[in-house]
Amino acid sequence: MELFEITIDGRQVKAEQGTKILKAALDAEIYIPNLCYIPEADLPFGGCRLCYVEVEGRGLVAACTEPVEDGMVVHTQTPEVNRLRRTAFKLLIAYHDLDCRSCWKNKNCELQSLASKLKVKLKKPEDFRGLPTDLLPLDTTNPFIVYDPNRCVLCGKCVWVCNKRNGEALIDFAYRGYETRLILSSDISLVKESCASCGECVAVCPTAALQPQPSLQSTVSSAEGG
Amino acid sequence: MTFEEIKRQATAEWESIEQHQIPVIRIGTATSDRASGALEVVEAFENELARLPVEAKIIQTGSVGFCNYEPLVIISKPEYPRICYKNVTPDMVPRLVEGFLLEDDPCMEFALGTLEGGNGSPPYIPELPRSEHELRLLLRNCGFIDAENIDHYIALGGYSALSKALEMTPYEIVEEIKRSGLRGRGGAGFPTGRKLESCLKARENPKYVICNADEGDPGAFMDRVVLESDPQAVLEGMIITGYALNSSQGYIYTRMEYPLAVKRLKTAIEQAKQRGLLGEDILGTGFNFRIEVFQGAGAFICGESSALMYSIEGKRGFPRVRPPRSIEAGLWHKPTQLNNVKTFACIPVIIGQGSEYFSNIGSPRSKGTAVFALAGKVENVGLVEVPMGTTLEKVVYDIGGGVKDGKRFKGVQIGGPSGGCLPEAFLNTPIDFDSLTEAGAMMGSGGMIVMDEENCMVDAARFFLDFTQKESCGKCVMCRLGTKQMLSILEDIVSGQGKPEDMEQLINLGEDIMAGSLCGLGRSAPNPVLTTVRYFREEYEAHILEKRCPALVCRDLIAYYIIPEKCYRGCEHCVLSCPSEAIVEHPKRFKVVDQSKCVKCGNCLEVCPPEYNAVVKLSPVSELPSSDLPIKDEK
Repeated sequence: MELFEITIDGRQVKAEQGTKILKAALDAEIYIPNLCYIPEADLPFGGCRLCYVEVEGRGLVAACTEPVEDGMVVHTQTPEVNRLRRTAFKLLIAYHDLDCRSCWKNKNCELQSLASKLKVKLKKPEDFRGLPTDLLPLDTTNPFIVYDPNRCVLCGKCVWVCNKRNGEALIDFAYRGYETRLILSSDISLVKESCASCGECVAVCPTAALQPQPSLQSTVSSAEGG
Repeated sequence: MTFEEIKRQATAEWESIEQHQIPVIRIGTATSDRASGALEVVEAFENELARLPVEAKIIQTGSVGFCNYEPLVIISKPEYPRICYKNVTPDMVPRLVEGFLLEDDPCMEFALGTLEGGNGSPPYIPELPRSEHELRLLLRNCGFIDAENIDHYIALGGYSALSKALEMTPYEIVEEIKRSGLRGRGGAGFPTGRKLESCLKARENPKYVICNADEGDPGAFMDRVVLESDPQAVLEGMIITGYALNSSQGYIYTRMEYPLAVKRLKTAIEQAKQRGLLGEDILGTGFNFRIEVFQGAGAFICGESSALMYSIEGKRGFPRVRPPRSIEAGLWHKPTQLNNVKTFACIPVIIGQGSEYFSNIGSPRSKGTAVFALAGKVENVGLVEVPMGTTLEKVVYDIGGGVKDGKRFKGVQIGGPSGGCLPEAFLNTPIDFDSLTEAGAMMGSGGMIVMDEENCMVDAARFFLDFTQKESCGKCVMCRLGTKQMLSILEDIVSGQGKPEDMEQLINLGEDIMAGSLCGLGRSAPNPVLTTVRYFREEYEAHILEKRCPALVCRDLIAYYIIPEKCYRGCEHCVLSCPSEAIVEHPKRFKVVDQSKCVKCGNCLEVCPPEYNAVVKLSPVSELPSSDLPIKDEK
C-alpha cells in the first residue's frame, strides 16, 4: 500500500492509499463530527451527513466516503462545512424526543456531545415547522430489546453489528421517507439465542433508541408522561 | 442458422404481410391504448370479420405515441394508402369493416390521416406540422410492428447491428459508441462510451449488464412504450453491450406496475433465444448471453443504480456511497454496466448505422434524439422524439399543439419530480443535457408536464416534493428530514399559514439538501421548489402575504361564491350537487354558499348551467362580500 501525505487543517497527515479522509483525520486525532461511522465496516453507511469537509479543488465532500489522495488539502472548519453540518444536525434534533431529563442515556448521549461540539443548543429549532407533537409508541414486540423510534437517528450501527454477529440482521430498516424506522424481529425462534445473549445493538446505539427489555417499565411511563 | 438465413425468413414473413392481397389492420395495444379501450376495439374487429365475408389480418402493435388519438388503428388495404384512424370505438368498427374493407368507402371522417400520398386532403401524417420537427430514431418501429413477433423487427433491419458487432472487437465497439457522443438517457447524461470503457477495463469477472427500466416519475412513460412496442431493440442493445464487455448475464429491472412490458419482454427474450440471437453460442460465435427480467415492487428509489442493484440482490433498496463505482464493484461486487432503456435502444442504431450518423443528429454536446412523454395541459399528449437541441417551444407548441383549450401557458416541469419548472421566458431553451441543467431543470429520463394558468405553482411544487419525500429511502438525514421540513413549510404556505421568511428558509434548506444528500434523489429533490421560488416568486408572495392563490387552486385560500344577480332563482342544480348541504336559499330566492359548511369540492361550479354561470371562485377568502362571510341561519 502506498502511503499518501495529506494536509488536514494545516497539519501533515500520512494515510494509506484507499483510506477515507474521516479515518485519516480521526487517526491523527483531528475531530470531524460523525454519528454513523463504523471504523471496521467495509463500506461507509453515509447516512448522518455530519462529516462534511472541504477539499481544495473538489469542494464539499463527506469525509467518510472520500478516499485520500496524495497532496490533498482538507479543511474541516469552513463556513460552508459548518453550515451543512449544522443543518443536518438541526434536522436530526428537530425530529428527536428532546426530553433529555427523563432519558436513560442523559449525559451519555452522542447527540448531546455533538451539540456541544457543533455549538448548537439542544432544543427544537424555532424556525422549523410542522414538528411532531406526539410521540410514536415504543416497539416492544421483541422479547429482549425495546425500540424507541422517537430517539432513533437511523445511523444503522445496530443493523450492521447484528448482521456481523448473526450473519443476518434481526434489526432492519423498514418503510420509506419520513416514516422510515427500524423493526426488530419478534420471531422467538430466531431471536432466542442471538438476542438473549448479545446486546451489541444496545451497546452501539449512539442514543437511547435501543434498550434491553428489563427497563421497559420506566421508559413506557416516561414516554406516556412526556 | 446464419444471420442471413434468419433475415431472409423474417423478410419473407414481413413481405407476406406488406405485399398483401388481404387488408391488414394494425391496432395499438400498449398500456395507453388499452386504457382508452383498444382491447374492445380488437374484439369488435374480430367479431365483425367473423360475421362478414371479408378476410383481413389483425396485428396488435405497440403505441405510436399519439396518446390523445388512442385507440389508434392503421388499416392497409391494397390500392389504398395506409389510413390511420383515431379514437376508434367498437361502434365505429362495423362501418370500417363493412364500409371500407367490404366496399370502398375509406370512412375518412374517422381518420387522422394517411401515411402515404400527400398533396391534398386527407391530411398526410408526415406533412402534419409536428412531423417536421420530429425524428423517430428509437420510436421508429413503435406502433408499426407486432411487438411479439421478432421477425417484424428483424425484417426492418433489427439484429443487423448485432451481426455486425460480433465481427468487431470489444474495443472497436466501445470506440464506436464513444465517437457517437451518446450520453446516458436515464437523466444524468454521463457519456455511455466512457462508462463502457471503464467497465471493459475493470479486471474482475464476471461482469453484468443491467437495463434500468424502473421508470417511476409521475407522468413519464417513455420507457414503458419502448418496452411494449419495440422490446427487441432494447435486447439487441444489451446483447451488443454484453458482447463488448464479455459479460454473459444481463438483467432488465422493471416494475410490477408494468405487467404488459414484462410479458412482451419475456416473449421477446424467448423468441430471440429461438433464433439463436440470445442464449448459448449466439449466431455460432461461441458468445453466450442470458437476459433475465427482474420485477421490482415499485419503490421509486430503486431507479437509483446502486439501490437497484441491492434490490436485485434481495436487499433493501438503499443507495450506497461511492466509491466504489458500479463499473468496478456493482451487482454482487462485480463490474456492472447499467444503462437506461433508451440508452440501450440507441446502441443498435449507432453500431448499425455508424457513429457518424448518430453524432450528426443533435446539438454539439448532446447527440442523438430526446424522447419525451408530453403530459399535462397540452393538446397532443403522448410521446415525442426530437433531435437534441430542439427548443421547448417547438415541443410544446408545434408538436404538442399548444396549451389545452386555449388557456394561457404558465410553466413546464421537465425531468420528473426532481426536475425543475421553467416559465414562458425559457421556452426558447434548447432541449439538451447542459442547457436544461443551466436553467435549473434537468433532462431527467424524459417527463415533460405542461402547466397552464389554472395550475398553482406553489401547489405543484408541494405535489412533487410530497412525492420525493414519500419515496425517499430514509437513509440520509438531509433527504429524509430535510425534504420533510421543506414539505411542512409548503403545506403551511398553501393553507394560508405561510410567513414572509419562508421563501428564504426554503431556499436555504433546498440548497443544503442538494449539496449534502447522499444520492441523486436527495440532490435533486428540492429542484421543483427552488425553480418555482425563483421563477414564480410572485405566486409565493401572493400566498404568503395576501393569503391569495392566483390560480384559484389552494382550497384553504379560495371560496365559492354565487353571484346573486346571475343566479336563476328557480334552478336547484347547485343545491342538489352539494355533498355537505352548504348551499341555502336566500329569502329573495337566490342561492348562497354557507362558507362554514362548504368543503370546496367545486361541484356547484361544475353543475351551474353555463347560461347562468353564477358560481365563481374567489381568492383571498376576504374577497367575499361581507354579508356573505358568516352565514347565519336565516330560516
